[in-house]
Amino acid sequence: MKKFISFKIYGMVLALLTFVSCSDLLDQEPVTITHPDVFWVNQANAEQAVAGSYALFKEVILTQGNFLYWGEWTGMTFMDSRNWIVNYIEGSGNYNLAYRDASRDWKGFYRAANWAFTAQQYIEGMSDELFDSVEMKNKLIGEAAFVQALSYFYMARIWGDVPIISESLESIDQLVTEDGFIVTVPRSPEHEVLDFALEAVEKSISLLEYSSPADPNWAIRANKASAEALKAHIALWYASRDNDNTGMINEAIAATTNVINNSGASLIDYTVEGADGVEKMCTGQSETGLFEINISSAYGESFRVSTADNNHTGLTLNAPFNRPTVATGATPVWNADFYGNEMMTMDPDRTNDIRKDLFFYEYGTTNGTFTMKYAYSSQDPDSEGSYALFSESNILIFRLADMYLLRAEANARLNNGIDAVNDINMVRGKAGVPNYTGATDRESLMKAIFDERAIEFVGEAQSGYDRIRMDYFEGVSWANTARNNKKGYFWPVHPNIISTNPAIVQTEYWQGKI
Amino acid sequence: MAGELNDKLNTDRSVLLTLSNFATLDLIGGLSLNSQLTYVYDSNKKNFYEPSTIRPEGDGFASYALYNRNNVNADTYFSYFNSFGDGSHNVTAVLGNRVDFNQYENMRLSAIGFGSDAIKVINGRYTNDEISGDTSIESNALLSYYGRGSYNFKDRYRISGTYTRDGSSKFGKDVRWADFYSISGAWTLTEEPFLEPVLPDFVSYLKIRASWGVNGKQMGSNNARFGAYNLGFGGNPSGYWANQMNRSTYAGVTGVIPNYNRMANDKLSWEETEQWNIGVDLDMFNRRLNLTFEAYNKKTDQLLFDTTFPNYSGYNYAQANIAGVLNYGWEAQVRYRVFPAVSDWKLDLMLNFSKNENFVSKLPNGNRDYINTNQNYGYVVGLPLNLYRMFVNDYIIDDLSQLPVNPFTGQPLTGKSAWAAIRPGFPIWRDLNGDYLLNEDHDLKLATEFSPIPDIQGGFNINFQYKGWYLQAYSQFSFGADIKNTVLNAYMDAYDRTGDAWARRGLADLSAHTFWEKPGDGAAGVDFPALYPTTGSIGGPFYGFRGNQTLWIDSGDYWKITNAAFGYTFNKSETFMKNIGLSRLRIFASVLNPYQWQRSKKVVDASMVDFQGNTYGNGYPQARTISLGIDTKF
Repeated sequence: MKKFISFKIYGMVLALLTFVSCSDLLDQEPVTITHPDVFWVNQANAEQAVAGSYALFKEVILTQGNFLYWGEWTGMTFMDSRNWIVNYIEGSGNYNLAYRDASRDWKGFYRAANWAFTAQQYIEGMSDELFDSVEMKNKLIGEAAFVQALSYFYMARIWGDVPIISESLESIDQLVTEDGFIVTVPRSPEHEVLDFALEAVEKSISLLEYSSPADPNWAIRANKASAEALKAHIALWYASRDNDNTGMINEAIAATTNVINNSGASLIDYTVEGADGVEKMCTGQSETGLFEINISSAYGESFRVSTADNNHTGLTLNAPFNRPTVATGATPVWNADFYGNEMMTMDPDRTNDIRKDLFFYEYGTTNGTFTMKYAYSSQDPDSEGSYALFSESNILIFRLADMYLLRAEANARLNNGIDAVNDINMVRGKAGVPNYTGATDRESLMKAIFDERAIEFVGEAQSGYDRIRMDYFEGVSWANTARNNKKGYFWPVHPNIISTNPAIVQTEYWQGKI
Repeated sequence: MAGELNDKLNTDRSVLLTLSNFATLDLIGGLSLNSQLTYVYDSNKKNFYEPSTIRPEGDGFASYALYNRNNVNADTYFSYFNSFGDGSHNVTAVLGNRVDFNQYENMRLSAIGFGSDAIKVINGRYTNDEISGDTSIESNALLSYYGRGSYNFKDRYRISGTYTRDGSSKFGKDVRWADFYSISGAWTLTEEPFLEPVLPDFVSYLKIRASWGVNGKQMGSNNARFGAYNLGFGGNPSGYWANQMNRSTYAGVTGVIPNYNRMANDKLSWEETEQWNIGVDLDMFNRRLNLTFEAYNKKTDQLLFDTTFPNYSGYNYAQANIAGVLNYGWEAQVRYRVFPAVSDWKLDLMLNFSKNENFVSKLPNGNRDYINTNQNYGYVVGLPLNLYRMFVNDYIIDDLSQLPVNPFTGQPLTGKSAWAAIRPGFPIWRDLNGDYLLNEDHDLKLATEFSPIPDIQGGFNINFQYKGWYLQAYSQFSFGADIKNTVLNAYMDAYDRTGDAWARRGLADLSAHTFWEKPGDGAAGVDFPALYPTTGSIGGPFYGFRGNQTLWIDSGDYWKITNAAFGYTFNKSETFMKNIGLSRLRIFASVLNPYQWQRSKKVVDASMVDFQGNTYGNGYPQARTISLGIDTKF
């Protein structure tokens, strides 16, 4: 009995202790998740956050093959798709695609940009001692600033005016007011969006160093030349949207010249290197790459080449690359009436343009013609199936030929015909195309540059943006002045975006059409 | 295939250990100090193996799951009880503190591979790539300080009150504590001397009671207040099959990103509800007629609500305490004993009714109507929860000339281009925005008139006995609810979309329903559109049997007898019972679900409905089970 009583007293004391134990117990630090208060403590974590921002950018442009919808099919140059969804664009210029809601949604870009911004803020707040060197810390901040600038630049090219988010969104208080209202943010005018992107890219340029093709991260992570290439693109886009703003044109010339002189990159001579050179360029990290999205089985960062129309391999390939026999529906087709094919036929200089054979599979045959830029692959070691292939083609964002042609365009805008022709010829010479002998007035040069870009960057989702920047819509049946005056070359804003943020006003052309 | 299912392994073992220690220390005059300390260890292990012979891919699937919970609960309180004035005054009071701490450890391991079925656990025959698993550790703590007191006088008056101050680790520092309190009282009028001359004689018992209080609920997730980062994000989107590739890196570096699906909210707090109840208990005619009535009103205005965030934030949702709901209703029960208690005859009739209503009283964004991201339901202030968005069925088309023609273009009404072209037999929905184009963007209507809440529901039971014989019948009813025929919808929609999914579940009996078969059927008012699989030959699917159309809305009125039984119970004093040593002998027959009336002719079973008005089941009505039995006890 005595024992029992002492047990009772023991229990009582224990329970009383809990009475005293105060609210420390209520601070349960989570074990299963990590969170901002404990994460930003070392270089490895900072690097992982920056890698996450690249991955977010990768996700948004790859989702459903969106980068092709935004930048390739809208260009209407070479790629005639028989896919019924792509036909919304190719048939009538209707960007309101069925089952491809993500093409009207900018959320993915904000994920990349906002996270890149947040990462910069946190890394800047970390002590220098936490990093191998101050250069390393600067490099990480510079890369994050690059992703932020790149994301805003894509949005400016796709939608024009978009909201600018210049704070790190981490708490619900920033998004919901005290009386339960969602904080609305209107679209900022596109020049402000471009200014915001320029500010970030300048920061990136100031913090990053040049690299070389020998660097294992060459082109798949940003270096100083990647940032300068981005700056050149933003500046020339800005100039185009701002009545040929001379200051911006000169910025573009300076930036392209910096890249051409200092990047460590060089042009691939297709006439010499042939198919090997193209394969090297497309699989990525070649000497001509400036910025690419990494897709590589060696890194474990690849996916199965597919016939499905929800990814860029299924949308662009045909037999023998992703299927055993030639499919005649929903796959790309050669169309003689498409602008690029017409141009290649009409222009006698293009007779020996080696890119017809190198960039396309069986150029000029009806069913079997398509760009091979996404055809590079390797066998999935875990499968016996002959079509179990991992894609090895990187998504090329910027490369050196782009810089020559951007500089040519900038000079054409300034009526520096000779400088423009020199740069055009640099690119033509590598493809077996004779030097440009046409007129050197601005209009003729712009067409020559557009044509050169169309064939050089086929499949790389540039021509749709080139159309807008160069204001050149020849061969786009559904483009017209009335539509362009209402900015119908920009993509519509998804109605969900407007319903959760009523401060957003639909782009004029798309009002009442969604 | 015989015997192959023997290769399956499925074990589920639980260990639940509770150690509890209760101690009381009597202090002075009715005051004592009590302590209860409880420790619970709860462990659950599951081993599972699905053999290659029954899996379509011909591989084996093995898994192991472990679930562990450690709980410590310590409750320390002073209690006081006193009774004075010859027992006519009673006072109780409790003042205490409670600590509750939970720790959860979970583990899940699984492997899929072309292994031999001879071994059913995960071992070396699987490669690293074939094995996946995860572990988690979570904890939460709750701290309470509480007090309760009650006083009653001669069973005539009773009054009591509670107060609690609760703190939860699930909430942020500034908002984790909340105060809850309640007060209640009851007055037995029939015990009141001054009312005795006033109350009629047939009243044997009358009591009124009322309560009011504020209480709180905490939501499930332990870590919702933290802004979680997701580790291992490589940016491979859906639609890109990575197979065995590592999808967690970019350029070889593990990617870390915020959890963009849910934003952290360190202001997340208790869902507080203010509630009042009133009730009356009345017994009359020597307690042969009893009436009970109760009404309640529950107002929650800190309801956790998924707020959809603007896309510029990158986030999908956050939970915040920003919605309000009002629930109110009443219940009444009548019980009548037809014969006096002393009679050999016994017939009890019991009838109960209830009516419950709810409506949304507050929404974020200045009470703006809320539509969820999938656009299939919404909330509107002043209307019940969970309103569906639906196409409004207009007619089943017999001839394309019935389609309205756009006066500007001369083109008839069409469905959106992703659907098959309209053909006879298709349902035509209302073109709500008048653009001569049917699509989900403009022509879905929030079905505000749809309410899955019955106007009245209840039960009616009969219990009859005469000596050893008895007859019982239980029934339930519901009137005024709208329900959605999700059972036939799922069945017909699956058939319409081709494939064999429709045949994998129950086969519903469609023989009583009419379908469009030939022109004229639509005007004649057949039940359903033409049911032919919408294959590519007609230009793909039209989704004519989609769920979000008013076609499926039906009346939920029903009255069903759930159980009827009769039998005879032998008296245990009968000599033959004693002779064979039986202490109990009963013979009986009972029928489950003997009868059901329902207004709807299309719904399989109007009584099988969830709280949102969706019918459930696999297309068969509830089984009618007849049992005959003998119940004995030695």
